[in-house]
Amino acid sequence: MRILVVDDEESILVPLEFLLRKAGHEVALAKTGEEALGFLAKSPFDLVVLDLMLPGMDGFAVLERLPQGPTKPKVLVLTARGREADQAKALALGAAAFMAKPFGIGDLLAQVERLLEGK
Amino acid sequence: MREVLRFLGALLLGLLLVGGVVGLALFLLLQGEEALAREFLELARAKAPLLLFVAFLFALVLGALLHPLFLGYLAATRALGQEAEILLANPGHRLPLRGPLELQALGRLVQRLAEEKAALEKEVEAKVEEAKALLERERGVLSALIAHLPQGVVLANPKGQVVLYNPPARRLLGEGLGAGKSLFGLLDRGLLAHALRLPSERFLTQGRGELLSLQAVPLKEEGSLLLILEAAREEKGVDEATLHRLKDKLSGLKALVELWEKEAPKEALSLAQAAKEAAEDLAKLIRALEPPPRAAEVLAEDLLPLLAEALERELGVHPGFTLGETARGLLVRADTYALSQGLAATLQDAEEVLLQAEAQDRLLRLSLLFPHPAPEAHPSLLEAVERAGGGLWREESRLHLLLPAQEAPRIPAPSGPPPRAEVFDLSLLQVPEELEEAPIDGLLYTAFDLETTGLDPEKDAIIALGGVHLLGSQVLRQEVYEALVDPGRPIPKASTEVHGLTWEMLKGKPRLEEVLPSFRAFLQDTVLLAHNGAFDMAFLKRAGIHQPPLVDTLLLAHLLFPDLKDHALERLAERFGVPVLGRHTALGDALMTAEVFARMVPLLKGRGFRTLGEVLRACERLPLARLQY
Repeated sequence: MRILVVDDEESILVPLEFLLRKAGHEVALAKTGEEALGFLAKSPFDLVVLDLMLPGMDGFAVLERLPQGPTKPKVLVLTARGREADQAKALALGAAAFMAKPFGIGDLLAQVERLLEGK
Repeated sequence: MREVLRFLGALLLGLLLVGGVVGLALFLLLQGEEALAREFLELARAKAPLLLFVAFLFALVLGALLHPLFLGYLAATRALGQEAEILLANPGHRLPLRGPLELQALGRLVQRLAEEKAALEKEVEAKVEEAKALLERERGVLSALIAHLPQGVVLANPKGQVVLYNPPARRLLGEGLGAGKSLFGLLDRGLLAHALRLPSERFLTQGRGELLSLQAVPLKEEGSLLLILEAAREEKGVDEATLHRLKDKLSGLKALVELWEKEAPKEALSLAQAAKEAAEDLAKLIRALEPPPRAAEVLAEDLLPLLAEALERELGVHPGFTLGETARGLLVRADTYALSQGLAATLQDAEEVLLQAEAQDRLLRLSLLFPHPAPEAHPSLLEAVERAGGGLWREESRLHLLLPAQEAPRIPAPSGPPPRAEVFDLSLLQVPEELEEAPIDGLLYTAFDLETTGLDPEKDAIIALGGVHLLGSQVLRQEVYEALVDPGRPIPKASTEVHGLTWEMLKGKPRLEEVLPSFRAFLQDTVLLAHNGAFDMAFLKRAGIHQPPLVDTLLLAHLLFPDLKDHALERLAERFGVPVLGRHTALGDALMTAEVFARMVPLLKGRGFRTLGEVLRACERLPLARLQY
């Protein structure tokens, strides 16, 4: 499966890339919202792991601009903004799941697999 | 001179009257008796000197009679009137006592009245001076108090003109603040109107150079408003951005460590495990960190009308609003003023909008419905929502705001008048060296009552205590004491029937020994007052509280109404027109005792009882007082 990880924090991108690759997925990394939308415009992804606080365009804006239709990827929001309002807003804007940082890699992997099962 | 003319006039009138009457009588008598008339004229002519002498004598007598009347009484009365008039200007003037005795007596009376009036005036003047001095003293205390408050305080009249302010207020609001000046030049009118609607909340606004936190309290009776100002303090604790950075960094580190633990070679496994555990602990600690909320809470029922009002005020639109059943009673976290300003900025061009509020988990979802695509949120609205810890997004013709909310605790709103500091006339309180010498209406009393498991102080236990303070005959209703006590044993049915308390209701309440210190503190420095107090005193004594003297309204009732039969507390309350409420709760009975006593005080004074000692001694002489428990 194709997964796009969007986070401005290098120390998160590195382990996530390693983890997801090891689980057999194809992984692309983006550090800004604009970069992420660029990836999404080029080719479809099954899942986007999306941070909310990004420099420039934030995660909510990325959520609002996701490609629609059959190529629409599922989105797992992974953020340090763990407030209920953020969670509710992310889900209202079309995110499939929400995880607050700090997270455990086991939980994350399980969540990713659960989301990809439907695909 | 006038008196002389009037005297001569009266004399002439008298003579003419008498002469005329005599002439008329002779004329009528002698009509038709021509011979007799002629004879009479002859006789008169012959005795003319004698007749003239008699007439002169008569005039003299009449003159002697009229003279004192006109030249004595009248002149002296007029003089007295004029002298009395001087008294009005100079109360110290002495009236010269002249003329007839009656007039002298009248003069003395006028003099006495004038003296009494002067004395009365002096007394009134002294009283006014005294009251003025007291007022001045109290004003001094009050202004010292206000001046020393760390907060800025401004009192303004309904027009917004400043009536009173303290130095901190001037420091915060700048030189523009002055007595008689308008507040609206210094603070946003909209903010003031808004803040007055939520008098228990604080709002942020720009003061002179620094951010202010402002609280506005409407003073209903006076129609004026009170402002409490403080420099807005930076909230302590971690700020949100730092916390997010921290969580981000830690997440990365934790993920790396967890991965490393999976991949680590055998010899490094213990190290990796230790690192993973440390990361786990750190994550727990950081999850517990919450940035402090930067907004106050407001009831959803209040928030919507407030926002609608603000929009009406700022934009002239009349938004409708609906509040879902689920949202009722929710306490919403929001700086209502910042939110209303942000909304107003966002809805600049909107002509029609409907506000809809629903509960959503632990959030309030406030949706703005437009007849067209929703406008973009103004940065000030974003900031207000962000500060409250909420979120905001557009969805076609809707703008959704999510604000953190929680169920309001089910505490009924305090009824009654708004809170205010009580100011007591402490000049009432006169406690001389000897308590017994104190006037009965100049003492601090505690009216109290106990509920017990039975009637035997040796065996039974206290289960409820209630008390209220009185200053003289003024019941201090805000100074009350109420406590329920777990007796640690079942309560006999007979006594439950009296006070309605069962052991089940009292389990979990504090024990008597835990309650007593606070009750003792409540009683301290006051004279105890109870109805049939010997009973309660016996229980208190056993609990280690012995604080004589005791004023007993039962004994006072016997003292005041020896011939009336029933002196139960309810009867007394009825007799005095005290409403009977909460009977047989300790506090209810204590309050009733206090009210009854307050009405007995004037009667006792009327009977000549002046001091506490006199009242206590009179009560001791009553046969009833010898009863012991």
